[in-house]
Amino acid sequence: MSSIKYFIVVILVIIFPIIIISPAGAEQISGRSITLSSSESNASDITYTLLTDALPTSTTPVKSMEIKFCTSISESCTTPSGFSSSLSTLASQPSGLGATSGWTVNTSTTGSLRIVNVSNSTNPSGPVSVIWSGVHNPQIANQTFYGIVSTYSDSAWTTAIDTGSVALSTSSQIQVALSVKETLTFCTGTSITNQNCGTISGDQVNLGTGSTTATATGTSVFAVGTNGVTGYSVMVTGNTLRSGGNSITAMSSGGASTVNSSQFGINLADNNTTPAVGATKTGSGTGTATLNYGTDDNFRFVSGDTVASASGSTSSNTFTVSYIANIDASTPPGAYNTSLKYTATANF
Amino acid sequence: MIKTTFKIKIYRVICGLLVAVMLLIYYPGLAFADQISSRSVVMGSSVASVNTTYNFTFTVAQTTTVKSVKFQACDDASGLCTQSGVASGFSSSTPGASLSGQPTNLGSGGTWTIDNTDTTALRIKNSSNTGSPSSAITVNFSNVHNPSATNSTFFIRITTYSDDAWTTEIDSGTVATSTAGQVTVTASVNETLTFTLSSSTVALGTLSTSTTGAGTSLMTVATNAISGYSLSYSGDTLKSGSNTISAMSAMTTSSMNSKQFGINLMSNATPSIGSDVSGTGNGTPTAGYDTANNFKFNTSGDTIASASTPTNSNTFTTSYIANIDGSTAPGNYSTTITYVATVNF
Repeated sequence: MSSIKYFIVVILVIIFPIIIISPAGAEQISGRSITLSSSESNASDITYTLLTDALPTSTTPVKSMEIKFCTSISESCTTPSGFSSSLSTLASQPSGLGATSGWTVNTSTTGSLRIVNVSNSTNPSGPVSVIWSGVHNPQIANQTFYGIVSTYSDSAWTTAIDTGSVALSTSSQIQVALSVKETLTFCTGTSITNQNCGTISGDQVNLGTGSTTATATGTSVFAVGTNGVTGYSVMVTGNTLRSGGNSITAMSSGGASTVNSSQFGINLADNNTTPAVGATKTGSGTGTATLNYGTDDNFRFVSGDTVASASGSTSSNTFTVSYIANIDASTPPGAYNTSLKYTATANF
Repeated sequence: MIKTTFKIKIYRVICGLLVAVMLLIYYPGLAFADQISSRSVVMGSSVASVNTTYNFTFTVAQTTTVKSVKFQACDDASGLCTQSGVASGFSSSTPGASLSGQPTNLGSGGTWTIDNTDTTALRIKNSSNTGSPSSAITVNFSNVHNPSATNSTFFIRITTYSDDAWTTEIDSGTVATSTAGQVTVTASVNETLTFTLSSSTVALGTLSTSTTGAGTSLMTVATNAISGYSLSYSGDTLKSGSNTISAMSAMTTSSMNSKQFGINLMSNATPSIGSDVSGTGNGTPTAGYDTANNFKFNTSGDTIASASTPTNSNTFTTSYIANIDGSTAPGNYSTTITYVATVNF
């Protein structure tokens, strides 16, 4: 017998909180949820959206409604530290509560989200939706708190009609950090696989033997890319082809290749046909040859010129530099050469 | 129990301090320094291991007076700065970097000087500097020794300091730059001589004492020989058996009713024959053959045109004239003239 008494006492203790949080005569609201636009702790201007099924008591007009926020579901409600409805507003008129207008927010109780419509005389029907904006979340991260939803037949949040509770929680924000270093990829040579500077090789471009009836040609390559905010520029420096005191005229003004004239020029154009030399730029970058060096069949050489550039951060491109040399009949014999330097400057 | 809790607290404090110290060591720019913006370095040459110019442009974030600046070359953009990798070989001291001029927009007053004590960095200071830095600061160095690896990206960390000992940081930022290979372009030009004759026969027609027989042939000549070329001819005067028409051994004008055979390379009016030299070359007719309406023919041979340097093509028109007098025996007169171009490489 004493065991039975003990069992009854235990049962009473367990159900006691439920009994006391359910106002006498109040029906349980079903299908209830409260959605926070952000669960970040201590965050301001958060939207709280209450959704429920149609209220169980459909014969009594609702004149006020509230969600009381508590740290636990117990008789004595302690507002979660930091939670505040003082700046809350209605994002829109609620639905499912009867009147479709006339609802206003009451912020006198900062621990509750409250609305009131003293004039409402329409019975509730259909799913309920109430959206508050400007709510300040509890300040403790990863804290579960509760919202006790109640409807009232009076406009003073006194005579409860229906009720239900919803568990909510704040959470920590996950800070994802990544450090990106300044980068400049740049390499020169005569052969490369795609834009992989690890594969670049060669440093000699042999144009062969000059002739007054044919243009001597050759190519080199460079790959370049950067995350510099304003991109990069690639400059070429060096002399024209020389053999002792003799030289082949640099195409300082740019122009077409003309046999039987003294010319040395380069370009980065994709489709030279006269002569047929060069290759299309490769890679997904946004770098381009500059105007003076990017036109098919137009060659130029001025030391210090920028030959390629990008105006923003860019993946790598591989450019093919085409070299042409023509000689006229007076071009003295000899072994002509020059060393050209390409310099990339990134702007961070 | 209280003693154990106290020990735990002490342990946590020590761990916290260690973490802070390690962060300061590995991320020296972490503490308080703001980011330098619009930063770039233009290298005069990206060739590995050469001495070249480094021209920096950047804008600092803070208005604090700058009294020293460091540009340190590193293998990586952040963390502990090392020069064992891609930045290896960089040096400010060998052969000895210098300021190309006074920096601009770093403030005012005093003089900026370079300090190459730290070979891994380009360092400047100005203890008398006053005022705030403005945007687009420029600092230009010369004689900076590039890293030794080709086609390698390395990093230069720019840091400004409020003291003149590179100690109290103000702002910092990193630029990535790269060495690159050098492309050598070669071409060979062989010795050339272009020499062509347009025709093998020249008919002067039937001569009379009142007309001058005339005809032309064309020669084109060019060479890249360093001393140019000389163009000569050899041959006899017009002959028919044992009869001859006198060669004009000295330059003179054409005169009808006299025995004359001569040539020149000019545009003539008397008789109307020939053209001046054409083409872009610099070859010219030689004396004796360079005066309009005057002709000459040396049966011992003679140089008729020349160029003293490499030359593009010229086309010379050889004008032949012949006159006869009343005693000139009838017959078919002819001669074969050989032209030779000689070049001097």
